[in-house]
Amino acid sequence: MYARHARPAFDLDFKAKTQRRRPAPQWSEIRLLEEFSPWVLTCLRKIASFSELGEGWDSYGSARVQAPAVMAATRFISEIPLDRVPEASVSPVPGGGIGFHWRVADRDLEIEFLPNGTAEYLKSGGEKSEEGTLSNFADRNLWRWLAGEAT
Amino acid sequence: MAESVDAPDIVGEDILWRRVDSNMLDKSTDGVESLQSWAYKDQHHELSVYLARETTVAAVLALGKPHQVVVALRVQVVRDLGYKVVRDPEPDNKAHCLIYPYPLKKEHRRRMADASVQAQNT
Repeated sequence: MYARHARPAFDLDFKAKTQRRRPAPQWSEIRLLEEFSPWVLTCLRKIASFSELGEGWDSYGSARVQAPAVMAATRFISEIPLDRVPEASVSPVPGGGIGFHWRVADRDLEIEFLPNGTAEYLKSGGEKSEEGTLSNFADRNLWRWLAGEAT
Repeated sequence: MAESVDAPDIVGEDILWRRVDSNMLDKSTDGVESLQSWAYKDQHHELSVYLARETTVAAVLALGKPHQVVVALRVQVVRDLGYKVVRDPEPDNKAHCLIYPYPLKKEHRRRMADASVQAQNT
């Protein structure tokens, strides 16, 4: 038989533990990709279609678009912060790569996936330009620059 | 190509045409065109162009693939970046030229793209 006076103490202790262990809220709003960023689906379809291009697709003897470039470009789309990234133009790149291009006001951002899957970027605005390699697709600095929020 | 001579008969105001994949040319809803810089990239480091006054858009497209368009660029833009326009006639098109040397700098290809517009059918 439980002593009546002991029960509240147990309950209080139990609640305190569960409150401590409770993780951050796990509910989040679900939004369909085609509503949130409809251009992404178009982009993914285009990327898939590029892998069907044959040798010499550019009429100047380019190699076909290479599988590592396709995989890296697809992973890129899945990892970029879609809430920050405006609609991109995407195209095959001579040599077997895939390229993304954004123009916002006078700022151009180009990200090129080389045939081996590595990514390089060129950002240019006005007279200034900067190029480099890109490893962290979720890095928001490039997108802040594109939006004109950072130099 | 025998010599890499900047063609003296081609003047700065002349127009060069280059055939590119249509995905490389984007047009915004307000009609503003933007060309991706890899329109001026070539796997074999030979940048083919055609002297507009000696050919037609249809003739240039006829040598290409489906889904290609022709973009136009002023010769002076190329020369201001430090490149030559070298005649390189082909059996099927005497207007063929090369931008020489091949532009390795992304920034230069970007500037050529910025200065390009879609060529009108002639």
